[in-house]
Amino acid sequence: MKSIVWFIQASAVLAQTNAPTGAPTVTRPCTCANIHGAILSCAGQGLHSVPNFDEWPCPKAVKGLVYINFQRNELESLSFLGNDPTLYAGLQTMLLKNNRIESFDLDNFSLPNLFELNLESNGMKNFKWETFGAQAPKLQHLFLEDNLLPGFQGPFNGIPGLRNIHLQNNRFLEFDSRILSSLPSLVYIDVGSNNISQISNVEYAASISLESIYLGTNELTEFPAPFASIP
Amino acid sequence: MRDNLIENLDSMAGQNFSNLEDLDLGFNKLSNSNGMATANFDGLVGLILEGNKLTEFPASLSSIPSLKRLYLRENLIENLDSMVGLSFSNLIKLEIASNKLTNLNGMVSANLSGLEELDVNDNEELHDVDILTAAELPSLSYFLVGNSTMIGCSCKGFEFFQRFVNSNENTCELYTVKTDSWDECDLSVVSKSCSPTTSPTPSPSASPTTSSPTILNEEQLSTGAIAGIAVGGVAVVALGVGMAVFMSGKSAATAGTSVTAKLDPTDV
Repeated sequence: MKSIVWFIQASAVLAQTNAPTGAPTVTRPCTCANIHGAILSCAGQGLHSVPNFDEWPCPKAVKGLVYINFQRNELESLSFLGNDPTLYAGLQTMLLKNNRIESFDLDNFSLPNLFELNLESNGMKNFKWETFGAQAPKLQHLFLEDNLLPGFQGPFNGIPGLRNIHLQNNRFLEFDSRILSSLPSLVYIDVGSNNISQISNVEYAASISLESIYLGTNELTEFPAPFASIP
Repeated sequence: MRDNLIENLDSMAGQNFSNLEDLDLGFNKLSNSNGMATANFDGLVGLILEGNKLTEFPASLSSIPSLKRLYLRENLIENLDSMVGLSFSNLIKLEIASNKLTNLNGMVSANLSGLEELDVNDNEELHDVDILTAAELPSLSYFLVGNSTMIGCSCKGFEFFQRFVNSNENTCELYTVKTDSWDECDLSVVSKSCSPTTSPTPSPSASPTTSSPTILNEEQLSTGAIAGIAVGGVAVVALGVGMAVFMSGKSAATAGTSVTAKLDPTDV
């Protein structure tokens, strides 16, 4: 296997840290690599926004990213995806843990090959479920734990390939069982450590693949028998 | 379903849960498990009911032939009388630590032929544990028991352990252990009942020079209460409030480790 890896010092554009005025700015290297596709890792850089690709320190030969790691930055939106659709359209893994993305909306953008999305610990209050499944139809792993999501808001049209979803430590007050009917490939779901006191619409629940559901550390007062007997 | 506010399992009655393999109802507010009696749990392998308010052993579980692991620690169970005459032959692991058990009589006439691990530690009023013999628990390889009442100064509990050791034809490398109640134990008698594989005399040295005893769970290790460990096919581990005994080569093999402990003589 041929691997081409570039380690290039981030430019000043990347060094938008929260350092006090007058303090030396710390810059760390971003990593551009080409391993079964192009990857870009720029974690912990204090980024408030993602600049256009032409400004990145990666060689311009890098096109068609399959993996981006922007964890531990200060990003507030996904608008960067629209800056260079050609670059991001082939993404398979997108790691955005520990940013400040309070609202997740792919807008008109699609990620047809996205396999894993990590949005842990963003203070997220809104997630636009309605069109997400169509925009990321191959998504298998979705990490949304440690946010402020109040539940599955709005219409939910399903995510056909989703196998694992992590929703622990959010603000769910109830769990709408209908969600399971829209996730035919779901194997694992964790909604522990929320404030769930009710499991609703059990009669509409169906899952042929679910193996594990975690409802621990909630406020349920009775065992949800119909729910647990879903075939 | 762990750590919720569930008070009863009435909603389970008559339902089919044959697809469930593991169910965690730990740390709820259950005072009984009655609802399970008429439900179908034919596929259930692991059941966690720890941290509830159960006052008796849930006898209805004998109708679940697939059940292999049962966790009942931190309840209010006073005896195991409800087990009498019932079969739990596929049960491999049973934890009833930190309850109110005063005896284990109910286990004598229950079928626990497959039980390999038994934890009845930290039942402060537990006595007469030696009513159990290897005949009742032929597969037992791990037994965690111990508190001041049971061990006392007669080392009675220890003799019980040795019976299991001998029944499995294991040897015993025995070092002294420290609990609050062992000060008056005649350790020489205890030592004679074993067949030391190495030195029968505790080595006056420092703390354990060992690889980790991985068979102990994290909670046990995190207590930092381990006073002494001796393994040579058999392990004797003294904890702050109890004692773990690994009695078959199987346990040692599972641990995959060789553990040697040396006690400071001031610990004895």
